[in-house]
Amino acid sequence: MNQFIKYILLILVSIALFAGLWHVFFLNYWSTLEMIEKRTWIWGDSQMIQGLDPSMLDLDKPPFSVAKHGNGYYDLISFAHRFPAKGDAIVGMGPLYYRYQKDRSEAGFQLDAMQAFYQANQSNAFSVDFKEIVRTNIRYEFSISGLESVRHGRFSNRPDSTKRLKYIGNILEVIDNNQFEGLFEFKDRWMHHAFDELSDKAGRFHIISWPVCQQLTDSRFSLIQNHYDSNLSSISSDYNMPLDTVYVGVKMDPFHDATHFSTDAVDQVSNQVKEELNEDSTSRILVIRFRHLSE
Amino acid sequence: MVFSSPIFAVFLVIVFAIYWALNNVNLKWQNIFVLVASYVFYGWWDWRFLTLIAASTLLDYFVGFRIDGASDKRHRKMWLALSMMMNLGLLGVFKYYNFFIHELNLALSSIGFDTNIWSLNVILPVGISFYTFQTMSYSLDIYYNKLKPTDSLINFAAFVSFFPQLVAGPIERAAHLLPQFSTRRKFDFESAKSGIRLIVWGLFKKIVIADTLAPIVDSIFETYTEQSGITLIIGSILFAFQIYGDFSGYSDIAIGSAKLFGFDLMSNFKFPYFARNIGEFWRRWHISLSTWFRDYLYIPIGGSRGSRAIQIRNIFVIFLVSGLWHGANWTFIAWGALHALLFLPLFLLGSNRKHLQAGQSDRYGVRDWLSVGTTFAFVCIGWVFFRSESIGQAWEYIFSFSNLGDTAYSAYLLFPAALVALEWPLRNDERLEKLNLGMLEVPILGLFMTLIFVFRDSSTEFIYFQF
Repeated sequence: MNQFIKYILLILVSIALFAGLWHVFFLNYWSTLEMIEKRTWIWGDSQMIQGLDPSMLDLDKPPFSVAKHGNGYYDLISFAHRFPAKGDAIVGMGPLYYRYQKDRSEAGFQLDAMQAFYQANQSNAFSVDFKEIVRTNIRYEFSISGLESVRHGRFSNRPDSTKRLKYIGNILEVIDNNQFEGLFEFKDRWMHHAFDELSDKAGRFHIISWPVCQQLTDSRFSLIQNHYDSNLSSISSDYNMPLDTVYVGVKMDPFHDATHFSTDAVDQVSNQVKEELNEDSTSRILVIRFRHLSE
Repeated sequence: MVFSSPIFAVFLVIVFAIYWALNNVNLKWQNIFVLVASYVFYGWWDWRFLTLIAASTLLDYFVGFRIDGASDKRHRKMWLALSMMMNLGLLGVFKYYNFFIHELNLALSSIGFDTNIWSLNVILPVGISFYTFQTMSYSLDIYYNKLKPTDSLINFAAFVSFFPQLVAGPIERAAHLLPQFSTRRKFDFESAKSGIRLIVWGLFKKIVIADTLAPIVDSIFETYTEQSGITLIIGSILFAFQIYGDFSGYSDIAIGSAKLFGFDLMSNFKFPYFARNIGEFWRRWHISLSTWFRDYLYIPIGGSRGSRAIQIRNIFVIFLVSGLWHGANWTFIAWGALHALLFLPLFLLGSNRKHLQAGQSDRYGVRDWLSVGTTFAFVCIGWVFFRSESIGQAWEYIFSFSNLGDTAYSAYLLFPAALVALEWPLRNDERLEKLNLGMLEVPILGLFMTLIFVFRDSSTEFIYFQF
């Protein structure tokens, strides 16, 4: 039995060694891709996945999307630290960034991001559920899903009013229960942390700001929207990124549900973004707005 | 509790530690512990399932004595019939009743009788087809005088519910496994080591191969009308390896786990895709089920004795029943029928017993490889029936093989290719007992375990649990 226990312990040690090697590989994987061919790295949540078609952008550097449904502040920081220097970055942002106290946070274990959280906790300035993030992301560190570019999807052109109303109901409930003042400060701090990294490392760095449907903007959601808009202005001045509004003319409701676009709207937005990126290569913030055209 | 879940790893470690600690107490307590652990394992899905397994256990335990003690053949037969009726009755109620009622309603309505015979609102208990066959083998072995009934209800209940092979086999024979519960087990390092190898290898086949291919196969079969012929062919090949990785992976983990406790389970797979004809395929695929049907169905109904017509009938019976065992759907019956049709020419030409020592032949010539390719192609066509929702869908899928169009998912063929490349050198050692990796053993196992962690993103339940 003792021999068997030694055998198992040796296997565990070898698993730990290989796991360490995998971690180093994962940390450097994006840089390796960047060495082969320069890329445009795309980050965002479901609004990015369902809102922009990277294949329509006609980019000099091929897109590599790491957007994921439910991405939040931890995922943004993890992305910013993993992001290879000299790559281009397109980051999708929207007021839904402030939606939850706890985001999904499944971008993978990232040592620098963990260090930043640890230091923030030590200073008692911004308490992060450090253990929870470590626990969740150790598992995702061993996932191969982060090794390939995410395929962006499309919702149909037909608006889904049931889904929309349900989502609005849910988000208003969250708004009623959340202590937003603390949350705004907390999430802004981490957004700035990530953008510090990205603006230092990226060649071209663009932020696309997503709108939400009118029904949501007209509701108590305006509390979040107003804060988001003012934060976007401060990011524009802090990082010297001009704030350009991109008006997309639409004849029909461009939203499939409360926050995601319909297929036609994705085409129109992607085309407009493509034109904007080709026209002016400086890093800037593109604020997407829909303008209803008469039939 | 699924073998590929972290909770099973914790369960296995705890059970292993207590089990060997009890080895110094006495055998009875060790067997009681195996029984309790097995019931915890099974009850983890749904504790109500435990009543069924307990009922099946008690029935065959008492029927075993009655068969053995019966004064004449008629009484022996009567008690055996009771065991068969009750066990098959359980299967009938939980697995087949709704299917046959649905078909009956359809048949009656097609001739003008608008009936609505009740269907049952029941769920299929996990592994019911496996443990009912195992308990039936006990009564059958006593009936055929291969085994004496056991006095110990604990040993018998532990044999029926032995957790490593409870939910998806191998379907053990009472004559092979039950005596192992009466013998004192001794911890053997070499055997435990090969158990660990099998567990790691099984997890690799399940998580890295089967679970990676599963979403691709689902996607191809769900959108088969939009896919090109070559993509559909790729889909059938990927499913062949998904189901093989899934089921043989489970069997390897089961055999490996049993080895950790000093038990020897029968082999269930011997590299079936290296088979050179359908007969050989069935000597390598789900061996515990095919030999069960051979010994307890095919031979009792006459086997290869009698007229040619009777022999052919017997072949169709065994393959159709084997298909139906997998599930209540015409697709499984069609799958069985297809295998019967493929086996028949071999039988009529007298070449069905070629390559009898499956897995023992070292050299494959060009002709062998051609035979392997042809057999695999037929097996893949069979898998299309097995995987499809209906026979109509299966036909449509197969007839679309000639559709032109873009190829998709071809990169995923690397997974089957990697599995074949790894299995070829192991082809004579399905239990990984002769494998001698020397100093490399520990790093290789560590590497495989790391790969398992890396791919453990979307681990799903084992396909054969549904049977």
